[in-house]
Amino acid sequence: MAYPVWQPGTLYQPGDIVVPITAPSPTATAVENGDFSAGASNWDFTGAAFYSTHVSKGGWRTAVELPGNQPSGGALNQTKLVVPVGKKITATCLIDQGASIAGATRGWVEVHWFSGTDVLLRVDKGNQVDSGAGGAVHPSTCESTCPEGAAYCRAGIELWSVADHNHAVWGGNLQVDGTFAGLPSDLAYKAVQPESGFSDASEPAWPPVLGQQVVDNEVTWEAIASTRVVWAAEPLYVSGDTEPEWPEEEGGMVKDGTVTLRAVSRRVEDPNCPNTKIVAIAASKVFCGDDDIVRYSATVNPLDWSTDNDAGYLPTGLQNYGANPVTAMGLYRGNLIVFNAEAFQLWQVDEEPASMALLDALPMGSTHHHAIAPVSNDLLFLASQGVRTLGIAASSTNFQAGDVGMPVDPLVQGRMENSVEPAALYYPAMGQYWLMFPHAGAPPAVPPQISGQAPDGEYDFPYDGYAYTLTAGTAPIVRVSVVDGSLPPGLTLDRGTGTLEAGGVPTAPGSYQFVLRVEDANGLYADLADEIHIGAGAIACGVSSAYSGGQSFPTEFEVVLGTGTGTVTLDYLTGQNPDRFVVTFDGVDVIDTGYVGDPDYIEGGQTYQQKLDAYMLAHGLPQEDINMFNPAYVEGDTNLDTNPGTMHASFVKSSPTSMATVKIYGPLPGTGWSARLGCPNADEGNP
Amino acid sequence: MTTHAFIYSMTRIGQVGAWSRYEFPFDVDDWTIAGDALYLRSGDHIHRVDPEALGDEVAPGEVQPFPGLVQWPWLDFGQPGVTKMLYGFDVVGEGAVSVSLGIDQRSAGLFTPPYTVPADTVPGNVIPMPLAAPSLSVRLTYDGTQAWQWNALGLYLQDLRGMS
Repeated sequence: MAYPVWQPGTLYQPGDIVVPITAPSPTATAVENGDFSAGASNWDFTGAAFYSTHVSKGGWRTAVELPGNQPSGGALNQTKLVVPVGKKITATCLIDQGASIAGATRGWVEVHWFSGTDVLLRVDKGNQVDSGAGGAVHPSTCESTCPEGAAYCRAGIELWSVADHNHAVWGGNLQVDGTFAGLPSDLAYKAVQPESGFSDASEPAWPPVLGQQVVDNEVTWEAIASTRVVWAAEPLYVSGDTEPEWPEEEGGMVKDGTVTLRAVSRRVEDPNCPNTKIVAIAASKVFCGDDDIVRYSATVNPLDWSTDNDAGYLPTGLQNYGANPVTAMGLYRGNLIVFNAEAFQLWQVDEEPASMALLDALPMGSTHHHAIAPVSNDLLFLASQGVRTLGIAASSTNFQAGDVGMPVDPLVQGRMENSVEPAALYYPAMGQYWLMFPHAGAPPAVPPQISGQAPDGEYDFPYDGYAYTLTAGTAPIVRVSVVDGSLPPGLTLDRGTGTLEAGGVPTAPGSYQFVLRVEDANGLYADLADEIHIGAGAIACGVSSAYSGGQSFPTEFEVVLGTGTGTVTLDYLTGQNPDRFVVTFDGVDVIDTGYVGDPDYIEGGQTYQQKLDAYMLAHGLPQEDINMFNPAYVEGDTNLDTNPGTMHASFVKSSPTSMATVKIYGPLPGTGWSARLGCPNADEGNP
Repeated sequence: MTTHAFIYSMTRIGQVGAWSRYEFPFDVDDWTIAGDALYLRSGDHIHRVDPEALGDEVAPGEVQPFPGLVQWPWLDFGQPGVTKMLYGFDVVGEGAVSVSLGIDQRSAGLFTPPYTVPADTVPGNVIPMPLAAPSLSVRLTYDGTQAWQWNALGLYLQDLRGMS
């Protein structure tokens, strides 16, 4: 679990656990001043030992000195080393026997373990060095495991001497190595003050050592290791990779992965269960009509219909009006109403069979089990003459007949004659009783549908034709008609098939919006709005166009090439005034003559090149050079076949696309041109 | 397959209720109530009853309003056979309503032309409707384009008997 973060000014109860906002600084991972390079600081000297400036052979500062004639003494480093419980550290130091007799003086390294409240728990000692032959220093090593309950340890050097020996012994160069936590894992702080108190406005200096405490205004926090149990879930039962072959007999077994499955019946198999559809649930039991009795299950066990003094039956046939079999049952104010064709009986039902009793009986019958519904204070049911009710008089079980159904009796009776079993319900949100008679009859007629979008056409060119998609509904389609707008003049609609007939020639360009309606023999219909655009500029291939005077920037027209393939030739004619001829086919500019004219021809004091440059600049268009026109050009002759200045360009048409676009750019006033896009010549294109 | 439903709606006035009929263009196989909503099952379709829906969906997506008609039998408003003078009327309800009065109980079709008035005519003057007849049948027609409800109708009459 995650602990809450410490909050200032918050009421904490004893036992509350928090984690700090600012974690304490990690504890040391090495002893401080273990080599006495900083003198005696961070050391606690004990016994007769004291700090000296002794330097041993090899340059080691062995600054803990036990003088002669003293029994023992030592020095303990003040660095608190936090080690996880069960983990090891290794401490080493160097011992210098000096001139001592072997065995007369000794020295060793020690590890002292403390609790969080600084109580010494245990001391581990390293190997004793009791010989310093040759004046050499010898190491003492201690490997120590953190005991349970220890919060930290300190390492130190201990020296010892026989009482009458008068030579000193030294120790130094303390080092530690091992598993240091830095901070204890899962460090948290627990409120340990005796009563609830508020935390301070600012965060306390959290102690990094387990068991240590800090006072935070009225709260005292103690560092703890929050223990956690991590659970890993793993499945005991796993189904197999493929579906098993299911047994078809009840009780049959099949193994599916690590699961063994047994086939069970979904039915109530108790032989005393009547298994009729006249069912009511009350008093933690299931009641089921069974001819002249009503059986009921054991309390809260609908599978059990046999246990004595729990399951059983109501002897309706032995009571008043019980001659006819049970046909319907309902619940009214916690009591069970049992109907037959003649009358009803009102039974008090209870979890205890001995407490069940007949309360009342009246000669109002019903044979429609599903038409019974409690509505407000009444019970509505369907009698042979229509909807009737039972109402309760205040404070007694004296039932009386109601007649809310009488206004619709004739209608209900009519439905009862030719209908299957009706169903009823009470709809509380609307305060309504619904009595529903399903009956076989023709399903509602489905209307027809129309869809599609007619293609556009070209003025004065035969339309391709288009057949709208018609889907008949219940009845066959009888007609398609235009009910709003109008078709383009020249196009005709086949009213029987919904087809715009091919070959019709549009007689006026423009956009034509219209609504088509498809109707079927039932008079049902569907509408579709569509629009056909009749283009204005299409001309036939091989037909020439000419222009004279003014500007032509651009003149654009479409040319119908037909679906054939082959070489298509553009014949064009222009004089000094520059014109540019572009043919676009299948979205690609297949012919671009560039500007053709006389660039040096001066008109009005400027050459045509200068005039073209000025025009392009003024319109933000790139500059274009004028190519020299055919000098054989005869002024005034617009006949492409007779004028010797006619020029030619061509492209090979290889797709069945019919339409090409011709654009002629004549930016300068007074221009004149003739152009003609020929029909595809298969012989030239496919030699 | 269709389902014909007779629906009895209780009112706030004690045991008084009213019947209405609906024709659903599907079989209702089963039903359930979840929250305040009623759901009807028909095969693989679940329908939710919308109390706010107006009109009759005669074709998928095509809803047509249907008029609501409230008509009283020929009422004598006093002694039978004596001609009464009607000055006007007031009606209280919701939704604009057309009012028409039958003036000859021998002729079921002899009604005044329908006269559309606001849903509640009580504030302001009486809606004038001068006519005289020994018995009257009031017919209120709500056109079905808005939710409607009839609460009350008041006729202002003067008995033309002598000494009355």
